[in-house]
Amino acid sequence: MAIQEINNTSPHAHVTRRQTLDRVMNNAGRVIGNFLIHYWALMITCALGILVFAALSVPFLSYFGLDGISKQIFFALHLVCAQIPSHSFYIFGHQLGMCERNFSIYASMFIGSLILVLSNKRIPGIPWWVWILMILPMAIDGTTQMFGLRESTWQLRVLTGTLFGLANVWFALPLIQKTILESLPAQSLDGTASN
Amino acid sequence: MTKSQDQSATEVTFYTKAGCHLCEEARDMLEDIAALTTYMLTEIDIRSEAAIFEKYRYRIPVIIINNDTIIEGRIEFRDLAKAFHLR
Repeated sequence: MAIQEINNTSPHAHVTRRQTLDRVMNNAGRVIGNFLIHYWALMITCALGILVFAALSVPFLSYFGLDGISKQIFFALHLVCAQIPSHSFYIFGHQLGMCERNFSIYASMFIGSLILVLSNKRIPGIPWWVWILMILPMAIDGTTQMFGLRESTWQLRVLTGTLFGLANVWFALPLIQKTILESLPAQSLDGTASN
Repeated sequence: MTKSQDQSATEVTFYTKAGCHLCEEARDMLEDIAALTTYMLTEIDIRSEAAIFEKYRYRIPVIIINNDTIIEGRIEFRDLAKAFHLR
């Protein structure tokens, strides 16, 4: 019996098993890599969409009496937003899950990345100086309000937040896509370009 | 709800509304404060009066302590404790 067991785990069997494992790992890596290369923007868009949808769902859930779920989502969203009542939108008399500025940022990032995905990631990115110009209004509005120099309005929060969100996605996402395309070998590049 | 019959007890007015998540959190904090000190609590639903509703609808939860200290919005426990002179 003992001799037979030793024979079953011979060096040859180990090598074969290792080769199989290597092949499986390589294939899995290739599949995951290809998936990420093709769907990274869609995944970002979905994540942003979930955030925006969650923020919007809070007042609706409260309105329909589902306070238990609404409360959990509301407090989970505190991870990404201060949720100051006087800086928030209200639907049916219930506060949204995010303040006006953050809601505008995430909603515009969601719409911006959705447009990028729908265009097959072909939208050219904005140059860095346009990005700076677009984020500057929110920086000024936010910091002057934070230091008590003035009080912003909901219109300014929405406008500057939207500019900030759009600037970020239209600067960063095309840059990511460009970097991916440049780093791919020629044969993969043809496949990616067609997607 | 009265927490104490003491004449010199701190007077607290709490403006709230059903379905306000921040108000529920503020109420929990007030209960934690009640374990540390005594106060007289008056809870007002802002929908009970139109003028109060207009004044506080975008500010609740609002806690007024002894008619001078106002804490509102997203309330932190340390701020509330400080207002009660507990820290």
